[in-house]
Amino acid sequence: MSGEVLGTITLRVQRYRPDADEAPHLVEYAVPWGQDTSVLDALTWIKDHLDPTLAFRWSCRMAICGSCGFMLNGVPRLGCEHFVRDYAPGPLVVEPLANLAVERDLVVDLEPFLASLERARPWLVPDPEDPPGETGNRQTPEQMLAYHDYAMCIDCLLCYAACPQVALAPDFLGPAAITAAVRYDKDSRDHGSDDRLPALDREDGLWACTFVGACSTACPKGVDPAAAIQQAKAATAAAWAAEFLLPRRGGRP
Amino acid sequence: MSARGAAGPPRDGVAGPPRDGVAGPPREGPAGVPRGGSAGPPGDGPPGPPGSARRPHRPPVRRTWFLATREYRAYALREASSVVVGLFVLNLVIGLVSAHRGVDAFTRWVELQRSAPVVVLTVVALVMAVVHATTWFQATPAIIRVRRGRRQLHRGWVVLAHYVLLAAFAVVVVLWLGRP
Amino acid sequence: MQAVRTDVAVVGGGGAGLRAAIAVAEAHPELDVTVLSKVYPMRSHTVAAEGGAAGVVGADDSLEQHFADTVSGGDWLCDQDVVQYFVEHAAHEMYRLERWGCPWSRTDAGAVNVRRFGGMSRPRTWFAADKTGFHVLHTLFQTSLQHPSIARMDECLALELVVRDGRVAGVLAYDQREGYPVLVEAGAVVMATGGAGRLYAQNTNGAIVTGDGMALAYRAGAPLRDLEFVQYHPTGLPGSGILITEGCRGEGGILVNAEGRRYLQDYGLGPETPVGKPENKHMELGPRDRLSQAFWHEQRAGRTIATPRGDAVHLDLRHLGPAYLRERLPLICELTEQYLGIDPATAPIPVCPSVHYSMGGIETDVTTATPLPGLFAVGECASSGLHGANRLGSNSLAELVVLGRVAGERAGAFALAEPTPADPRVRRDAADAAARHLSMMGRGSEPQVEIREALGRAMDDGVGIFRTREGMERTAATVRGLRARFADVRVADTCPVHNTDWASAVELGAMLDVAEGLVASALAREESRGSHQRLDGFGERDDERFLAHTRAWWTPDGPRLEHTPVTITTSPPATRAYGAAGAAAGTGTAAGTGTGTAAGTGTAAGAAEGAGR
Repeated sequence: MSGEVLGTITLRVQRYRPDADEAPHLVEYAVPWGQDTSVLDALTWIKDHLDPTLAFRWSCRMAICGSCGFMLNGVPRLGCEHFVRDYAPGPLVVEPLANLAVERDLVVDLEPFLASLERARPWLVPDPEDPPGETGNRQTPEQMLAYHDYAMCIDCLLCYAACPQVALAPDFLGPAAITAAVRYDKDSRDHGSDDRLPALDREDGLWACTFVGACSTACPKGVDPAAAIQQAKAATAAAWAAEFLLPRRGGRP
Repeated sequence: MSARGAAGPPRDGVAGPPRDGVAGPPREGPAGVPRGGSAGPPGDGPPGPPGSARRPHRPPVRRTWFLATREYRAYALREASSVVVGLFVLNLVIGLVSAHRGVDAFTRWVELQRSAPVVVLTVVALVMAVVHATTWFQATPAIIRVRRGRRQLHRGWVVLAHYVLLAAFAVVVVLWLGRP
Repeated sequence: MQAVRTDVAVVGGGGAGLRAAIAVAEAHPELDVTVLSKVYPMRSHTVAAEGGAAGVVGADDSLEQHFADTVSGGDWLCDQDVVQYFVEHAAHEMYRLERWGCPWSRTDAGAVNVRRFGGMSRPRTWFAADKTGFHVLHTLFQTSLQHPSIARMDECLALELVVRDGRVAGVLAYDQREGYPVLVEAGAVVMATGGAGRLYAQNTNGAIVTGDGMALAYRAGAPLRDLEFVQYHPTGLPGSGILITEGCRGEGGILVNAEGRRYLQDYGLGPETPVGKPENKHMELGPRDRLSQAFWHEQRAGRTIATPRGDAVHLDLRHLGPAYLRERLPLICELTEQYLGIDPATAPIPVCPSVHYSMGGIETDVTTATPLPGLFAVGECASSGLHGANRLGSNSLAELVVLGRVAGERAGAFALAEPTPADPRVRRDAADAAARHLSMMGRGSEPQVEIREALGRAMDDGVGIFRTREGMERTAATVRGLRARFADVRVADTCPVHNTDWASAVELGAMLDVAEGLVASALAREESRGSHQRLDGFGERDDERFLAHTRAWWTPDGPRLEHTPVTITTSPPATRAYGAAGAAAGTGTAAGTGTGTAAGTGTAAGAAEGAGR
């Protein structure tokens, strides 16, 4: 690390080797730290100097790739943007993200999330009757505000670790996947809301959410997935009511 | 789409080989809860393709998960408040039914309201109704977003509007009840 | 060992790889395309790019000017046929991204907005706040999800390119999730694995930028080109190297030394432009190599600011005001607050040059084909010829989508035209290779961290911003020593699942191969051009001997070097000038006139530019 060493902290890190361990367990490591030692720096120090078998995901170091999510003292956080100085004197408990299956050490299973994301159909559907030409769509800054925050999601899955329904409700789409759908639904250039509705409007879609709100608290990018989900609930319920009262004739408008 | 688990050629079509979390036998799903509510041995999900060394561990969910963090406890309180408020409403319904049955029945119900348990219920229900109202009022800005052009109305105004409406409604009710 | 067959294998799931995969899916939906990536695609380092992507849209802009800026920015080492193709298609591909949902920042009227950027004579950099790479990558990833013919193999580390009968037969990879090797037999392979910035100790890059694909192609018999050209981004945070986008300077940020002086005016980039009124190609909007070189000189002269994390200069954004900063540069505000406790609205940001981009890589022609049949390469891992000796900021993100599409279409066409029958020898070769790679697990005594850190220091010292024969030879010797130590590298982890210890050893091996090629190429180039600058008597550009690419072939005894011609079409080499000198010289020849050298070809546009606005 750069700069002087200010102390040594004990990290209690969850380890699990699928080929050797019956169950996960905590192992203690003593790590020196300085003013700008991030938790991620501390983990790489362990790997470089104490135990090279410690496995965790990381890359960009600047909270944009979404790789380094962990539970830090029970709170889901990105390791690269939290600093040991705020946890000293410690100990600091580092565990894999909650509610997701643990593949190894701090590495969790992301496949269910990827599957959920695909179910949400997170891609732009152009107007079938009047597709945009060569120079694309016009979109004012005001129109962009309607979805821009929802487009900031880095897929770090801290929200899945925070959300109790991810643990309790089987196959719940989850905050980030629903937010991805809402991001496109609210994009003025998109005409795919009807396509996304079936995945959202189900027991394991929107309606599994009970608005705990922990997802938005955990989100490091200010996406506010809880808001996205509740807005989608309101819109879906309104659409259902409208359909019920004034059914559309024939196919979709 | 992920070609995970494809021992043969990746297939066309959205279906593909059964993937974790999507319909297909036996799924892992996004949850940590093994079916049947008990924590099974680690790696009790579907085995991977032949030769796979995967043995994922699904963390068990504690039944008292809602006590684990301050945020969860606040959520549990909010949810519990509806139960208490619901019980009080039940009490009022009983009062209505009693009124329908006749003066005697109604008088007995009114007497019952003075009893210690019902007084306790009433006081607790008042507190819980306040909790219920304040927590849900705090939550409404997530759904009600007011924007003109590029400027967003501060969340506080939406919350305040709810209190103002509540106060206005309360004033109307009190005036109506208190009319000579 | 598992085996799968696919028509086109794309190695790398970043911007270039995803764009190539989508291109195959659109042009040839009957083909299978498999994207292998050692990380989930949204973790690819494209995600960290901030500033923007260049494409001509302004009424007072032209393809000729973008061409001229790029060629002079590359100090005339660019293959001009590639540059021409690129400038012609950049805006079109970026409009495609828009139609796929990319949230380009807009003017009030709703058109795509553009901003100034270093080395560009006109504002033509499209941007999505200061997270352009993030938005481009997520747009491409989400768009790719709708194509059923695109299969992904996530967290699969590519180990070797399998070659049979002189052509590429597939990719051997290791599935970290399942814990076994997989052979992906393919009719064509597109390498899109990114750059090699992690070779250097001070860099802006993420952990994964280790030159894997370059090493794979190199060992398989494809040449690497122009490796010696490594870009130092002038503004990274000292210590961590975290990127502070050029967009800050495009928005009007200024650089000052310890004396509070905007020192760039002393390095041919002046005269000093008024604060808050930046002028293209002047001062802080000069090209990256010039700015990094200026820092080096200031540091030598003792005029840089000493910070606990190293020497720095100050990037001052205070005059932009808090509201403008939050709107246009929100990520920068977040980064400086978190990592330094600094609010750019009230304090200047300490910055220093950090390795950021590899201009060199796998040699390709204008169709993204490499000399190895069946192998295509695109993005930072390739040397397409677009960037020459120094890349202009915002040309790289645009390159991903322009050439990414070409790579996909060409690879698809190749796979259709030349299908490979299943060959048991391929499987045997792959199984042998797998065993070799896996035998690293659980043995060795040389700690990886020591080798990696020694390599990083040696690269910073010997092949940094300024180079000398002595320094480069010292680094070459160090690299040789490290390669010997690497033969006994310690891999303690034997668990087959998510074995990051073994994976980082594989990456370290790739880094050492690329480093060897890089240092040799740098030694052989006895001139100074673009980002390769020497202080040992070869301080000038030598177009007679070195208007040429450096090509490195892998041999068991070290790299074999050649110099190959540069494709010059309409812009013969001229003086590369910025600031007032650049304006007077008309920024080199305007493409299309092709007459003579700098002096005397001043166009009206060039003269007006320097005359102040």
